[in-house]
Amino acid sequence: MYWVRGFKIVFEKFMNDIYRHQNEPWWVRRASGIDQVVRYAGVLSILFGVVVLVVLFGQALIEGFPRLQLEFFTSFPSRIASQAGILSAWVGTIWVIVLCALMAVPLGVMTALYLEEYSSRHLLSRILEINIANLAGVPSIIYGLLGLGLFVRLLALGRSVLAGAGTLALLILPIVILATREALRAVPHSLREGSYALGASRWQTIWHQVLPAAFPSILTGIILAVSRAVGETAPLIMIGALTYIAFLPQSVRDPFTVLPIQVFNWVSRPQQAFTANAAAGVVVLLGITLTINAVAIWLRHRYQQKI
Amino acid sequence: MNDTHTMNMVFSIRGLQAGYGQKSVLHDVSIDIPPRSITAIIGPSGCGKSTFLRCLNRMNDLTPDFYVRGKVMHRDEDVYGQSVDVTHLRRRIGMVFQKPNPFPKSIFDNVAYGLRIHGMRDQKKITEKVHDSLVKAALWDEVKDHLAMPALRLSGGQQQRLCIARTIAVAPEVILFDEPCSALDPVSTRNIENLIVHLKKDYALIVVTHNLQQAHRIADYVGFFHMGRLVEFGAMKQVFEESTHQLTRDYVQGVFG
Repeated sequence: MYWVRGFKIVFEKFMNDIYRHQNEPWWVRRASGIDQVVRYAGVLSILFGVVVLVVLFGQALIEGFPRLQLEFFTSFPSRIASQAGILSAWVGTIWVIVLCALMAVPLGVMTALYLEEYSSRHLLSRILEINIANLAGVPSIIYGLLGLGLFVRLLALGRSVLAGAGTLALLILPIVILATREALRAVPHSLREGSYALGASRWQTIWHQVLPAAFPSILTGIILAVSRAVGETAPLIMIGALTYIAFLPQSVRDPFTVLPIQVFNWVSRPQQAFTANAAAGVVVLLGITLTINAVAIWLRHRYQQKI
Repeated sequence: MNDTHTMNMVFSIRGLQAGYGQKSVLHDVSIDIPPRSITAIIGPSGCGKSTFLRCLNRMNDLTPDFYVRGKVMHRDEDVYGQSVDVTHLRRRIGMVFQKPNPFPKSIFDNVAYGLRIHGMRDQKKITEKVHDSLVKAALWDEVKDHLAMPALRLSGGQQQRLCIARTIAVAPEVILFDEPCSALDPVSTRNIENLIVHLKKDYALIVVTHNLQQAHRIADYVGFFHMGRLVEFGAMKQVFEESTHQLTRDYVQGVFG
């Protein structure tokens, strides 16, 4: 068994690390002992996360793999499990996410820019800051309620793509703002000073120096926020996204469904056959998230090489 | 001092007080900075010499809670006047910082940045100006073959000369140096010092330094600050060798630092 041998190797290394310092004075032994404990605690923590992810993804993959065929992506949902697909779900997800990003990113980045670069540090901006941090921690179902009241009822958008994207945009707005502020704060002050000293205006400094320097971190923050939006279910159910849609949205005013809702719907069905569909949906959902992240890493890497 | 004298001065400062919030840093500083010469500002750490320098191009505007009182005249313009365009002012009063801070761009773009933000679009003219500035900053021979290289790959001394080049490019009248050599090795320091001496035929230069030898080597005039007050200002020889102030004598002889 490989894992037994692997465990033996780790254990021997561990004992070796402990005995290496046995002839040293007690304070050296203590310091190196703490070093070892922290190191192994770190390794175990990483292992825990990785193992959980691998098990989850592996199980979904095994269960859903037979369903992952072209028809699965090109078919609408159906009462018959083997004929059901995720066409309306993944198309809906893309509609909602793209619209959501189009709304949240400019708003969030501009807000962060104002708070970080323009506003003076008085009481009002501090109150705003605390509130935004709090909003980032509000349960998503509450955003669903807000979306229902604001977009669906007040603005009379109905259960449309626009209402869903707006709700998710509200949800990730605080995350985008916080991430952008962090990124802007990490830009060294000397860079701004160098620009101002040449007679650059505030906006010139922001546009030519601060934003390019902060761009990789801002991008990371946006991607994290969008990944979160991709997986959100509760707020969309709250605003009345449908679970059974046999057509594609033609405009932002049309009803829609998204992948997590489709998965949720299949999981809650009694028939065993739908579980496989749900697993396949999970694999696709994870695939989308991982792809978005990969693109972000690639963009960031490419951008950093240019500097 | 009569009016014609003041008119010729690059800066004429009267009763300057400045500080951050409750903490006052400069008390009643009055000084005249002559053109085409090097003025060194010396004094122990925390005496307000950097704050003084940053009052001259309003760099302190960026610091929260900063306040300033008194009069700072640049030529015939009130630096803190109502109608002053700060960006225009800073273009004419360049600044080089303690730690070299090139932009994370190419060598060429570092120098071209100032030209572009002030509206120069003609690529030929920009190229020409970049060339002239790099020559003036004694950097051209070292970088002429790789102008597209990221500036951050240059050595510390080269980076500092690049910062001087980009300051020269926007054609200032004065260049403020805030301890320009304190992050550099002796050879780079000597290069920068030679460059500063060379530049004084075109610009007024104000150099804050905590290196007394450096002030001795390059300065025409020296201002000695202590506890936020200007103790003495005069020709370099006078301050270093014939000072009548006990405090100045002690400081330049290294009694305290």
